[in-house]
Amino acid sequence: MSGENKYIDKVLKQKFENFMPEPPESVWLKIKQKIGGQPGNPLSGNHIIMPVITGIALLMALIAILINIQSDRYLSFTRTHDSEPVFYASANIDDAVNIQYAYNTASQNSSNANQEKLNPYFNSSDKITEQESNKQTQNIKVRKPLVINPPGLAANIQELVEAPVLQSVTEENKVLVVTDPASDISQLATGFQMDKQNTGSGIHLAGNFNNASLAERPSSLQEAYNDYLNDHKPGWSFGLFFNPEMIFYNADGISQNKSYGVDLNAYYKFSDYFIQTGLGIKITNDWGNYHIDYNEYLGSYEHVYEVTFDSTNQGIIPTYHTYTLDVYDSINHLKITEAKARYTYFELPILFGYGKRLHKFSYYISGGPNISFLLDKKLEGITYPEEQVRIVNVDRKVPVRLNTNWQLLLRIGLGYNLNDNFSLMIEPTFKYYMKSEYDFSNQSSRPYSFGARVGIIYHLNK
Amino acid sequence: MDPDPKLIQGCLNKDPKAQEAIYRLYAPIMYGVCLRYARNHMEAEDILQDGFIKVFMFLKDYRHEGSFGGWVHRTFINTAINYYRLKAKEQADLSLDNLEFTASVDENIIDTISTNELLGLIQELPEGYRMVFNLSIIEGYSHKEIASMLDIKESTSKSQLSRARGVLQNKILQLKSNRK
Repeated sequence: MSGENKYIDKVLKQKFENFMPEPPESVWLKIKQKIGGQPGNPLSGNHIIMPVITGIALLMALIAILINIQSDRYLSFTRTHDSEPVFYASANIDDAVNIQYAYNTASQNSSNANQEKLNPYFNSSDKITEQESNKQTQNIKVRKPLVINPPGLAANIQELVEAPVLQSVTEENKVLVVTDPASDISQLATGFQMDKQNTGSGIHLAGNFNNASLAERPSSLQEAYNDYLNDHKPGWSFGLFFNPEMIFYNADGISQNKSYGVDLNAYYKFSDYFIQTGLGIKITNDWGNYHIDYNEYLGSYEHVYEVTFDSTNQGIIPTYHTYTLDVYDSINHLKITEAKARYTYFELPILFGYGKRLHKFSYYISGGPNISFLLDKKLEGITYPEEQVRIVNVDRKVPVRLNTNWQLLLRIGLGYNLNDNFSLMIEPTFKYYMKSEYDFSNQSSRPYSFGARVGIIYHLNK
Repeated sequence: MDPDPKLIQGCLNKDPKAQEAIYRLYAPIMYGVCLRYARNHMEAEDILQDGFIKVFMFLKDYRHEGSFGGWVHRTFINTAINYYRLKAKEQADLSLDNLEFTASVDENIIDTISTNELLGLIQELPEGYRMVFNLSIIEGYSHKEIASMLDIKESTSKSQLSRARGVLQNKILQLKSNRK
């Protein structure tokens, strides 16, 4: 740089040294308005979050309550209509065959004078007219069917007759549905010599049912039935998962990032539905650098801050009171050092899901909001200038993360059931960030992530 | 110029009075900084607003390792740089063909123009030139440091400063000739 330029630069700099214009008052009003909603509370940054979360939680609770009420209504309904045994089958091919049975009533009726009238349904040699059947049967809508679904279960009529109904059905579970897409509804109708009724959802078969010939039912059916009862009993499960994720951004400076987490989840299952919540810890890193502004050390001198004079025989002697004053240059220097920032998040999912268990395997799908709170951040790798300097400022040039963010989460779970109590799970996961982890002003679209949770679930009530 | 530590603590506690006091203390200085980095008053007000919001939001990150004023100043420079990056994207097609070097201006001429006139000339500089000019001439950063801050090459920083000087000198001469 030439001496001329140096002088001009100095003059230019001096021009702005005391340049302090008053900004318009409207700027402060805008700032006040914006910072007014931010104090401390990590959720208050976005006023929409809390109402949305509350709304979703209330909706889930409402759904759960409604499902339970429906279940209770059904039980009441069967009790009021159990004056005679009912056999019910629905041939909606998609849902396979449904059978409903009222056990207690059958037991009562089996001992009365109508026993003979009921027996023919399990004896192919006896015939019953359509008219008689109609008199004896009720079609009760199955609201909460029990399901047994081993392949080929109901293909054989005799096996279906021997279905694990009577002795296993409890007072609370009066309904049994046997499903098997391979079953031929016509064959069933013939075998049971039952009525055929066409309904909107398919052919319904109806007839009375008798337990007389069910003593020797195959053990496999009993197991299947027991499995079914276990699967549909309301209860709790707990899961422990390892959760790696890759998050994708569409913003300057960051395109993708990895995270690892451990989740502890609790599930409350009712029928085929469940509510899931829990807590998770997620760890992720950002890389960037520190900008350290500093002034170089030039030297020191003894600064005289007071002089006192003492009168002595030799005359007046001055005493200089000093302290050492370091001198630094007035130019800002910048040292850039690489840095790593480690962030720990607490995660709180509130999910609603639907799932099925198929013997050794199970599957489910769940979705809902997942809220992340920034618990801790650790900054590593900063190295200060080694020489004696005066630090003016340390500026972290790593992306700024927000204290809270939330996502809509979708999971598909695939499980292998080790036994009645434990299942191994793998869960492909997709998250769509409703609020980004970063304070991006230049983000063109919302981030999203893919993950694959793996873990184990313990079923408490088996 | 550092404020009473109680004011900083008050801001950390989200005390509106403390926040306003800090604003009143630093707003004029920082508005001056923003005006230098912006093209006009509206942009400067935007940067001032964003800068103060960042100061209040991330005050907890201030680690008392340097002066508070230095930290605030640096926050505003960063805000201005981020603002510039956004603008640079929007104005990537800015034509620089009409920008030429000229002979150096007499240093005495600069003494005769006011700060506001000089500010107006600086604001007329293209974004990149203005950033490098401010960071180098006014803030005193080296080209290596500027290159790192703006994510550009060191040679780019040098050439942009050189061109900024040239353009500014042209504008000063033009201003002077208009006065006559």
